[in-house]
Amino acid sequence: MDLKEIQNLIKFVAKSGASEVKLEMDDVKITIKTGSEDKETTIVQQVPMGGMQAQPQLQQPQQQPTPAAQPETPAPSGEKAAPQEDSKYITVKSPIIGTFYRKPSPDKGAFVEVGDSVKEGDVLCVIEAMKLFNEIESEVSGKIVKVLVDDASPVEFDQPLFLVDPS
Amino acid sequence: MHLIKVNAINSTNSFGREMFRENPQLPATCIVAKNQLSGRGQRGTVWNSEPGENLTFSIVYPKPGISPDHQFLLSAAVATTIVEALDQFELPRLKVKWPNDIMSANYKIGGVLIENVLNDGKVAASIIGVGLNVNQKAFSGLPQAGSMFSVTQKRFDLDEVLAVLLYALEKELDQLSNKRAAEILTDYKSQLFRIHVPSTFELPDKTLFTGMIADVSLSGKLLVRTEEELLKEFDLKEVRLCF
Repeated sequence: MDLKEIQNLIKFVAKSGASEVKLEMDDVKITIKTGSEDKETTIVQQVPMGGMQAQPQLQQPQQQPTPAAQPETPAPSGEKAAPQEDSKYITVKSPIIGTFYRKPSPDKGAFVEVGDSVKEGDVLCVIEAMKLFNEIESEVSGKIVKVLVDDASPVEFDQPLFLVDPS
Repeated sequence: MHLIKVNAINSTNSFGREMFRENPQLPATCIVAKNQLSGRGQRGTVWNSEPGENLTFSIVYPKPGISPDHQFLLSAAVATTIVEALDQFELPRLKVKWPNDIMSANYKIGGVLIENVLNDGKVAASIIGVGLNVNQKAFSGLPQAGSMFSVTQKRFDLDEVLAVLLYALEKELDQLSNKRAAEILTDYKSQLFRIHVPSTFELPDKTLFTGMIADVSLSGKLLVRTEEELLKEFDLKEVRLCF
């Protein structure tokens, strides 16, 4: 199983709404946990905030070949601190593959900075793909807590871009 | 389509974007500028145009029938439509250069810059900027740029060219959601500059190699068959076609 397959699996699990999936096959055992409360898609490259646990957790000890995926019904996330802390914030994710830009043009200032208040419909960033420029609008009103991607770097579909505090 | 004519403006795309911001219910609208003061090209580049000689316009088109991951199809359809519509002016060797430059007689006579407004994972509006060199005679410092005049030695009526383009573009945009992706790509490739002929390509590190454009993918990537019979896929920033 290569990294790409694992990433795809994580996206699949996140979309399915399951809170935890265990998969064992050949010499690979993977447990994917998602924050079920806020239905967030979390992927490997995400850089979590300080103190937060990286999730999903990937473990790869040796195991007998017994394939078994066990999607469970979303359970309340009381057992872990991380999802709770995370659930306060809304993650703005990339709707497309492309290059992430924080500024409208290289000689201008960033659309938003950490601490800025944004309204629904405000432009947060531009994602460029094949000479097509996509202004990404905020779907929520709140305060920018963190910018998760560097200016002018490539982003994947569904990759978290910003954390917004809606309160 | 609503038509707004302005004398001087910074950028028709920026103006169109602002109109849509102020009125999200805006119907399809075209903004055409006699003099675009700071036209934009690809990120960080500029589009210069002599006042009164050329066409610079933007179409604000709400809810185009495409999903964000298929947006290359919009770019391909717009470029193909422009080339097909310009055919009636009898311009020599009209082609689309990947991804969406308008070529005639090996000169770049036009360009397209599309900006989409994405909200809730959907394209709320597309702002389709078109720059077309019509009657401009000289392009100092731009040996590969040309105009409809420079390739035919004829002057054209700007309003007539605009009317022809808007009619064709509006028709295409209105039926875009009903078209199949394969159909749009096939039309695009039938107008593609230097497809299936040996060409020289430049990599970002300035090295050159020879190959042939074999195909363009759904996401807009260029597939080049190299001399070693390998099929290589390139993103826009990863290769430049020399011509």
